Amino acid sequence: MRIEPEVSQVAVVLLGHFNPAIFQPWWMARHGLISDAAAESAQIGVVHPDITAFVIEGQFSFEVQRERLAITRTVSPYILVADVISKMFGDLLPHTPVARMGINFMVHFDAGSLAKRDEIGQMLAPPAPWGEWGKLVSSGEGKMHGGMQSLSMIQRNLDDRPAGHILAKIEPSSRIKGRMSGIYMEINDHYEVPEEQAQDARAIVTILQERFDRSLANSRKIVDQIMSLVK
Amino acid sequence: MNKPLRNLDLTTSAPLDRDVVLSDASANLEFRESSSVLKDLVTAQMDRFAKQRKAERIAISTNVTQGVRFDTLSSTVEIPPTPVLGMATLTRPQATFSPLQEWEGYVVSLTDTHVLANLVDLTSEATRPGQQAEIPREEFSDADIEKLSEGSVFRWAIGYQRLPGGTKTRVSQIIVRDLPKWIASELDEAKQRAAVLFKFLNRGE
Amino acid sequence: MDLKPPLETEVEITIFGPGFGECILVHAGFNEWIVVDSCLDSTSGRPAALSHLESIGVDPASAIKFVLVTHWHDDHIGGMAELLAACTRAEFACSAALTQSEFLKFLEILNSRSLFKQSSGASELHRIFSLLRTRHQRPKFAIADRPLLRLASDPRTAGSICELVALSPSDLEIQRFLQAVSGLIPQTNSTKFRLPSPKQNDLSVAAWLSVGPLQILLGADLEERGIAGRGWIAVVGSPTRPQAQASLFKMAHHGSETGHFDPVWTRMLDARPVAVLTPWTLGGSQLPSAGDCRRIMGLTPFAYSTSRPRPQRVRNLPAPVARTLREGNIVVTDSEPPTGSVQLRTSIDGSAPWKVALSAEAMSLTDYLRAIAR
Repeated sequence: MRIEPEVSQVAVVLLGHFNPAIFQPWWMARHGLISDAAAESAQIGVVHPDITAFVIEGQFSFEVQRERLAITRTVSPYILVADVISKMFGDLLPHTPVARMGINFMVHFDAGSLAKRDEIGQMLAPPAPWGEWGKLVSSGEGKMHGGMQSLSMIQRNLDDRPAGHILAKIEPSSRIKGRMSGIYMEINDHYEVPEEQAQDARAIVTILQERFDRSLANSRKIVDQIMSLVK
Repeated sequence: MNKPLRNLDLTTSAPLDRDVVLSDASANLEFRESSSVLKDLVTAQMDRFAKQRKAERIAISTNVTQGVRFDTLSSTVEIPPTPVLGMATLTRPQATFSPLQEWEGYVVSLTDTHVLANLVDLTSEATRPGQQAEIPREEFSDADIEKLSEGSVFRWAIGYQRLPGGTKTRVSQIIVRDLPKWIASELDEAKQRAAVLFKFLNRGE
Repeated sequence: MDLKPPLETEVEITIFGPGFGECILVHAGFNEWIVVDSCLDSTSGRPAALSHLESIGVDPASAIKFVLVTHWHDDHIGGMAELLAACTRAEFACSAALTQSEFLKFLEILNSRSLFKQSSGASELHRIFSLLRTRHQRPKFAIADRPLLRLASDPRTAGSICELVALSPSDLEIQRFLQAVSGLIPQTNSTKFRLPSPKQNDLSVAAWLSVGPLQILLGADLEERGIAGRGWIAVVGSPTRPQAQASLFKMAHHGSETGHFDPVWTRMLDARPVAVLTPWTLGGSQLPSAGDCRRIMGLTPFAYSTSRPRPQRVRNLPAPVARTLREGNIVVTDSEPPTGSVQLRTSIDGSAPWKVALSAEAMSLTDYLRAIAR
């Protein structure tokens, strides 16, 4: 990408049926998914039959509920998210029903100035069709300045998966503090398998292994396209 | 008790909304931060749990007031202890590192001092190992160097890491991939496909 | 390099390499073409043989009559599936061992999960077999002393017969290979791995090509380890192999010491044949070495390499990345220097010596040795 993001992360989200209480750092260490040292340093938010959440600093964040599991990594190489999920649901829990998956790529980058960010916002969501109100929206200085708040685009015609979509979202960034020039983008690359393949995790794990790098490469291209509007 | 939760559709595979502001915290939970998505999730889960337990308590008291005591029932009803959530921990910004260059490497041979590897340039989306590297062993972590053998696969990323405080440092991160194991069904299916291919190549069937 | 197609009465051998691998494109006269192995051209990223044929206006679909894969290693098979798909009238041959059940199990297991980012020789071979299945086309099996192809290269006179005979692998080599492959088949609960490059070229298909009076020895990657019944000992000692002497030798195994066998030069080749090799590098090792070059130059003055010797350090990396490599004393080199080629032409009646043309990257072995010494 032509602008180095200030914040970037990758999250893989699985939708299926899980037992949150078992996804604890020591369980993962016992099965070789993480090291003992990582398990020891894990910062636990909650461990409960309905929800488990913990962070291993510099490695992964885990959030597991009964229907949803999300593993996030903020440092490259991101493939380790795919590897830990492959081992978890390929080796250890292959009979877990998993029907859907999202490979999510999220970045915050600096457009350089509020004016530039505005320019991009107005390119993507022009105020003119909004008439007189559009003029009011784009007036105002500093924090009173209005404009595009959130925009999503979805691609459905994809021949590389049984079902799914690619959803790209763009918003002003709340993470690039102190400067009103940040842009946040989120690409959700979503996959679904037919019901007969959703009775266990194999189909989704296979897709994850085959698609992960390509998914990120494609997401980076989408983000880079918007970055090209800056430079 | 709570405001309707915004964009917490648990059926989406997208990340949940980052900044959801709640005007009131659940009375059952103690939070150390004023807003977070996870807080909303836990609130929703605990509310559901509380409603379920409340229904059971009503059932019990009704039965008591009607003069029926279900001691066994009342003894099975447990109110879980209120969990204390380390929200600050879970929502604290972490270091991020987006690579300027990333390779996948395959170990070809090992010497006392170096690891010789073929590299696939992922940044340029190469599909074959068009590069080679001689990497000093100390570039690998102590744990990873133990795992290395011919055929081992690693990922190598170079770029800038940004710490939450704003510090930016150039890093080179090499991590040996911990790959899944072969399962019996995968091997059996491959052998079946091989049998079909054998019949075609040797008998034209 | 002559970018005009050869005349009908000219025999042309073009050897491409390395790029990623090597490829030999043969015009056996009268628009009958043969391809041995495949490599990807480093500029176009496409099979070198296809790129070349297109550049001289030859249609591969009608022109290529035979395709031989001498080995399944990455550097002999790059782009072969794409090439074969374009050669709609070509017969296909490979080592007999590659169609046996032990190897096919291994192949299917390797291809059952796309964990790894690269296409390997195994995945290319898998694509080739899948293509053959869709065509209902069985391959010919190459084993020692088996004729693979016979063409009447002058359709007007049925003279100047073109023949291609496999010289290897021997039965013993096939047996040994299949035993080794069986040992590589993973067990349940073993961790997935990427197959390291095999060290021994047990299955390499060396071949003898004759077009009328012209004799050409294609050495593939066959090595000699002093074991009876295997390698060049088995080839030279075979009573049923072609007994003529070749005027052109595509040197075995990149001109290496292990690819060399003196009796090949004294019994299978002319006194001073034209000899061509494709170089190969792996980290600090490169083939041919300086010693290899001197040995070969002592045997013939007409020795050529398709490409220059030294791998180049990777360029065009972002400055912070280059800085990190420098500071860590880490050397990253291109394993795919630009593809070069050596083209040899002569008259189909063998009345003229081989005319050699070198592409920009190719060089004589004398220049190659000089470049190594620098």
